[in-house]
Amino acid sequence: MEYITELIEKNIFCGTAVLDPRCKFLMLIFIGLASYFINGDLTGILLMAVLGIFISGGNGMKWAIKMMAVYLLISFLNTLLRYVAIHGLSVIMSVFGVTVLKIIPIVMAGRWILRTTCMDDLMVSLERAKMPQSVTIPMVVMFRYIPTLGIEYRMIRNTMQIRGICDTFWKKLLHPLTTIEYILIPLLMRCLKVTDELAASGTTRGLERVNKRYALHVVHFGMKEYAVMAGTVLFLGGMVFLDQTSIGTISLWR
Amino acid sequence: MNNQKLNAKDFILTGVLTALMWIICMIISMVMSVLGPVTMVFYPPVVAIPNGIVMMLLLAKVPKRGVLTICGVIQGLLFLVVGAFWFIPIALVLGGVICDFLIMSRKEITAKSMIAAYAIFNGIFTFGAIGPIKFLRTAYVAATAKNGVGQEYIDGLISITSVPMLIVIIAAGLLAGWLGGLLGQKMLRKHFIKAGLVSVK
Repeated sequence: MEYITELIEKNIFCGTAVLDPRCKFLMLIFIGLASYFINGDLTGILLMAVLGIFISGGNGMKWAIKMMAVYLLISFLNTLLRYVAIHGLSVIMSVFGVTVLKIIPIVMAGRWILRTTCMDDLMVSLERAKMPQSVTIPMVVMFRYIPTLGIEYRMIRNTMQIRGICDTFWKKLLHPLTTIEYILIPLLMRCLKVTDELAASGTTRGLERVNKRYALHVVHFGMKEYAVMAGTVLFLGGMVFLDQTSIGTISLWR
Repeated sequence: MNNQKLNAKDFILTGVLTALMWIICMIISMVMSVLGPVTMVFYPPVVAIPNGIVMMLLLAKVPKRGVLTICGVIQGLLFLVVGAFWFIPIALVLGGVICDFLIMSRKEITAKSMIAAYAIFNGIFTFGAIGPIKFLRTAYVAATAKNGVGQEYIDGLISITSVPMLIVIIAAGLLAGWLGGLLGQKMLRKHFIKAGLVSVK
């Protein structure tokens, strides 16, 4: 009994990772909005650096370093292709590079949030924010399920390869509808099965409860969260403002 | 149709399938917008065809009011997080609400009404994704150009979204929604109804 209590109370996350889930998700939305407006090389890298430091403060150092390297590489290639004009390819690459550069900060923050948030805490915190169940349950399930989809997809590909179905690129390209059918139908079958199991396990644990919930971890939108939110808004606002001035046009790679 | 209220199982199914739909949409739209302005404009119709299978399964499994609205709200939120133009989430939510009322104005939900609802939902989504290029041109071009997208690409986008072309694109969206719905129904009959997992009237 002692051991179990100890196990429950032991929190593997520390630093910024123990912030309230609501705070983290608001941050993600703000980053998404701001990342749409920040276009300068320097401001983009600054945003990534600050975000990286923030994430490193909460069990995400490795991930932050990885994403930072990818960001620098793509940013460099993107600028390089703007000067070394190859007809056709440059236009395609500019769109591709820009899209990827926009998405990297969001992916970085998003995966970190998914990794460091217990879905129970998220559920409780969303419910305390007076969200209806019709929004909270699909949201929580969806965030939990997105990583699983990748695993399921890989399993299906493996099975297809073992049986020699759609195993080459040409077969896939020549029969797109068949490929869709072969991949999507097993995936949907899996989805139905997983849903049944999840629903059974969820309802027995009181997922549908309408009363007030309690959580083992502290879920509280306190001073720390307000401070972080204020910091985020100020920083992102500052970045967007800096982007409008001449700093935004400075090109880092020459 | 006694049990009209959505329960936890329906919510979970909606969440799982919406995640799947959103990922399919993201992958296809990414690939097609990279290929060039011409294919970029036609991404919603292409997305509609694989998504039709998922949506038909969702509607067949949960034939209740509110499913399309929840689906639209969640997809809209995800689009907002990814940093899409703000017109798309609004169109998605509106489309969800309108289609919900369209489906629910009937007592019995048949395969035909499902296909019709999906086609209209998809038509509205197409309008939401492509319409701003024409109607909110200054805002859209400013937002896109500031993002560092090549001028060639934007010119291509502008020249392709004239009014007749826009009608063609939205018609393609509706048509693709209809085709996707038909394909979805076919797949349902072929795999899911045979296995006894769902039943459609």
